[in-house]
Amino acid sequence: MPMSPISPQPALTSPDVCSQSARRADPLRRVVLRVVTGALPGLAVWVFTGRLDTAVGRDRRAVAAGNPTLQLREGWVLRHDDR
Amino acid sequence: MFAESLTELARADRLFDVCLVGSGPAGITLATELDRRGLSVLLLEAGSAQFDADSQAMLQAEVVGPLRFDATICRARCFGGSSTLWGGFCRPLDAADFHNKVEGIDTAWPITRDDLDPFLARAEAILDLPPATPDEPWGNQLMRTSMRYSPPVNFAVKYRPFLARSAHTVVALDACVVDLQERGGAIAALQVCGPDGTRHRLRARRIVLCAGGIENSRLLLWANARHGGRVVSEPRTLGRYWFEHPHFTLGEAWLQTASDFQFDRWSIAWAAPSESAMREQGLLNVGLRLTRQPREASRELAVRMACVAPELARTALSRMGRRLSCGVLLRASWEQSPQPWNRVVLSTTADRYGVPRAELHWRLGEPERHSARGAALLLAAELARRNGGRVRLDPWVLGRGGFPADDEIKGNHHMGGTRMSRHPHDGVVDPNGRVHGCANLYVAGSSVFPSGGAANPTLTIVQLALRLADHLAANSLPAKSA
Repeated sequence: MPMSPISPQPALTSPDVCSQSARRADPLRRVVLRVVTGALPGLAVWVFTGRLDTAVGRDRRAVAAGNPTLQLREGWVLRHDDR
Repeated sequence: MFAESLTELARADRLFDVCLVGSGPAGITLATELDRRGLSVLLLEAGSAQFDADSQAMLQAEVVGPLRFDATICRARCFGGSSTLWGGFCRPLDAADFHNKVEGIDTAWPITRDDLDPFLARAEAILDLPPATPDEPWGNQLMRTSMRYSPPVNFAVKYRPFLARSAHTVVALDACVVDLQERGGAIAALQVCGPDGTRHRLRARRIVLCAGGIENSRLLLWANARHGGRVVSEPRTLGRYWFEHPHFTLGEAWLQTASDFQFDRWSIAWAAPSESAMREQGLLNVGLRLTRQPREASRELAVRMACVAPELARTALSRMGRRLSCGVLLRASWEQSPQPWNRVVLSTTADRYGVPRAELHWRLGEPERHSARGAALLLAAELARRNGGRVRLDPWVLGRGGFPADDEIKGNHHMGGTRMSRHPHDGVVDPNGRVHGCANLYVAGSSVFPSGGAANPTLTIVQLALRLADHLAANSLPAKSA
C-alpha cells in the first residue's frame, strides 16, 4: 500500500493527511491487482514485474542508505511494503 | 553528633567551618566528605528524623501552567531528604549534555563531563551502584543505553551512624533556615527557626544551600528580597531556567524479536538518540523507555496493528504465541529546554514561619514535543530498517493536541533556578557552586544544573557535591574570616 513517504525526522505529515493519502492509493493498487489476476495477462506481468522491480530496488537502496521509505498509517510508522 | 537542642547550639555561638542547609543526598555527601577532611560542619535539617505530614505541608507550592502537579511529591522535609523516598534510578549525564545541542536553546554548562568524571567512582560507591554497562550504537542514529539502580540508598539510614559518632559534625534537626543575614558581601549568620517558632542565630565561615531544586531558589529569593538584593547581586536569572524531565507515553511498539533487547529489572529496555543525531536533527536528549508488556496487552497491540497491516499483525500474533516477540509501551523521560519563563517565584501566601511559599511557573513547548517525536521516529525507522518491529505514535506526538494532562507529566526531578554560569549575568553560581558576588555562600544540588539531559539527577548531584567538597576543603578560609 504505497503512501506518502516520510523520512525519519523531522517533518511528519499529520495522521489525517497520511490516511487520506492511503485512501487515494488504494484504487491504484486494486487496479493493478485486477490486471495481474485478470483479463490482460501479458500486460499484467509487465506491470507487476515493473512495479516489483522498482519497489525492490527502491527498498534495497533505501535500506542500504539506512533510511527506508516509511509511511504513517493511523499513527503506525510502517515500511512501504507492510501489508 | 546530633544537637540536643537548637537553643543550646545557638547559645554556644560556635563558628563552624561550613554550614550545610539541607540533609538530602547533596547535604549528607558534603557533610561526610568535609568531616573526613577534619572541617567542622553544621548540618541543618528543617524537618525531623522521620517523615511527618505537618512538616511536609511546609513545602506546599502552587504550580502555575497548563499541566498541574503536586510539587510536594518526592520532596521530603526530613533527615535524608528526598533520598528517603527516591526510586534509585541512576545514570550520569552524557558528554553532549554539557554543550549546546540545539541552536537557540542554552543547554551549555560552564564545566564539561571531564570535570565530573573524576568523581564518578566515589559517587557510585556512595549510591551502592552495580557496575555500568557501556552504551552501544544501535544503527546510525541511536544508542542502546541502560539505567543503573541504587538499592536505593537512603542517606539517613546509611550515614546516620557515621554522623552520630562524628566529632566534627553537628546535625541539628527541626532547624529551618528562614533568612541569610548579609554583611559586606558575605553571609554573616543564618536565622534559624525551631519547631516552636523561636528564632536563633547560627554562624559559619561558609554556607552551602542544599535544600532542593525548589527550596534553594525560594530561600535565595526571600533573602535577596529582605536584604535589598545584596545576597544575589545579579538576580536576573535567580529562580529562572527551572526545568523538569517530561515523562509521557509516546505510543507503543511491536518488537519482532524480543531477545534483541535487554529488559532490566523494571522490564525496561533503554535507548537514546546519538550525539550526532541530536545535533543533526536539533533534538534535546531523550531517554526512550521500552516497557515490556504482558502477553494479553501485547496481543491487544497486535490487534490494533491489524487495522492497518493485517499480514504483519498475523505474523506478530503467531510469534507472540510462541513467545518470540512482544509488545512494548513506548515511554520517554527527556530533556526540557531551559527557559527563563519557567521559574520559581515567591507566592503571596506564606508558611507558618512567615516565609513566602514557592510558586512554580512551568510549561512545556514545541522543543520538547519535537525532541520526543524525533527520538521516537529514530527508533521507528531503525526497527523498520531491521524489520525488527513497528512503532505506533500517539496523536499528540504527531502534533494533534497538547501534552496529555492525565499522564505522568514529570519525573519529580526539580532542576535549575540557581543555574551555574561563568558570568554573573548568565546564572546564579559560578563553576564551583559559589553564588556570584557573595564571598561565602554556595549552592549544591540540582538547582545549579544549567540543563538536565535525560539522566535522572541524583548521581550528578552526588558528583557535584563531591567536587564542591574537594573545592571547599582545598580552599579553607582562615579562622578569622567570615
